[in-house]
Amino acid sequence: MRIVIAGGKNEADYIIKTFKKRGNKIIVINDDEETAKFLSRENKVDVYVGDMTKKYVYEDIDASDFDLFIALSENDTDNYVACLFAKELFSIGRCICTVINPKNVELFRSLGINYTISSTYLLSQAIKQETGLDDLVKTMTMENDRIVLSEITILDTYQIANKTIVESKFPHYGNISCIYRNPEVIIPFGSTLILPNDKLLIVSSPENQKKLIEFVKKEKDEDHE
Amino acid sequence: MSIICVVLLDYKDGVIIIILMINKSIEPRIKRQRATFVFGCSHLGASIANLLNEKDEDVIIIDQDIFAFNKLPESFGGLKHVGDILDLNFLESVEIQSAKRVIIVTDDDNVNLLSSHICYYIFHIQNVYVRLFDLNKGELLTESKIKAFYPFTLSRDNLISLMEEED
Repeated sequence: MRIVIAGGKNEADYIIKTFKKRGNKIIVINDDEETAKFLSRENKVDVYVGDMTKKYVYEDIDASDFDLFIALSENDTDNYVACLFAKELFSIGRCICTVINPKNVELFRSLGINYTISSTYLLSQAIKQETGLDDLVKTMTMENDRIVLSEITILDTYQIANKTIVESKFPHYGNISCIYRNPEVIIPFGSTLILPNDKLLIVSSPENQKKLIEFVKKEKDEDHE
Repeated sequence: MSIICVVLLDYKDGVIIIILMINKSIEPRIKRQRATFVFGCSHLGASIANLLNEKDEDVIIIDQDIFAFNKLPESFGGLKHVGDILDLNFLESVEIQSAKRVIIVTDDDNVNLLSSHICYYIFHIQNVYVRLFDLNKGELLTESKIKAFYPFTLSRDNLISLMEEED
């Protein structure tokens, strides 16, 4: 893979080292001459000294030949403009924009920079997933948070325990994609029995996650009422 | 709120007249609906805001630096707001979505470009004008109806026309 890494110092150094090991072709853009010398000396890569928000920089490095662009500068606006150049004018397939201000993650994504990431944003998402739900539920998200995968451990007090999926009347807005019953992994059908201590992996949209968890965790006693 | 009280005494007839004037707000009466927003109170921004205001347009000018408003004349009747034009919450608080037009003239091309995209794509404002020093950045606006103007071409064209007047 051919990769352009624009801006950043220590972050750039780390990413160059990670990708270089895998035999990728890397070119670096940096507007600071000292940083450029440091990155070139440390990693033996080509470094272009220039402003990543100028079109001629991309023409000089022949950017249209590259597959991945990563903007790492400390200025969110500069990263946005650099990604636009790479994406719109030089058709680089995948552009990753890092931002300092977590609010810019949603903003840049809605403006078409699909791979916008912020360490603070990622941290807050991780905390939300760990603390928002109790210990028996773990979640992960995919496709820019539009798909949620929830892992729920079944207790024998739950009303769906010891029932088949059909009998449990599992809601249509969620899908049990997999059941982990140590040491087995079961791809379930309607007739599959849900047992206590099973771990259900349920795919849903984020809007329906809470309703689904409430359904699964409904206690047997409530059911009789 | 300010209250002005005028007391007139007529001793001959024993009449006392009291006039109370209550002014609820000293803020200029600007309609935010259909107002022109100017982003950046540079010399150009201040001049455009004042010119439009003199033509009886409702004008709202925004800058991050309160001292930038010193460039406006005292007679300026528009609204002045201190804030970040890249902050969506701030823009919503000044009701940007009901703007008639937005003119973006901060000194940073990249800020201007991002700001124009926010106004056009997020708040769906159809009349967005943006100053860009770098002609190439205008190529990033071709998918939209955002209108860019360039000091580079204006200066060049002005010089050419001045040279045409040579004897």
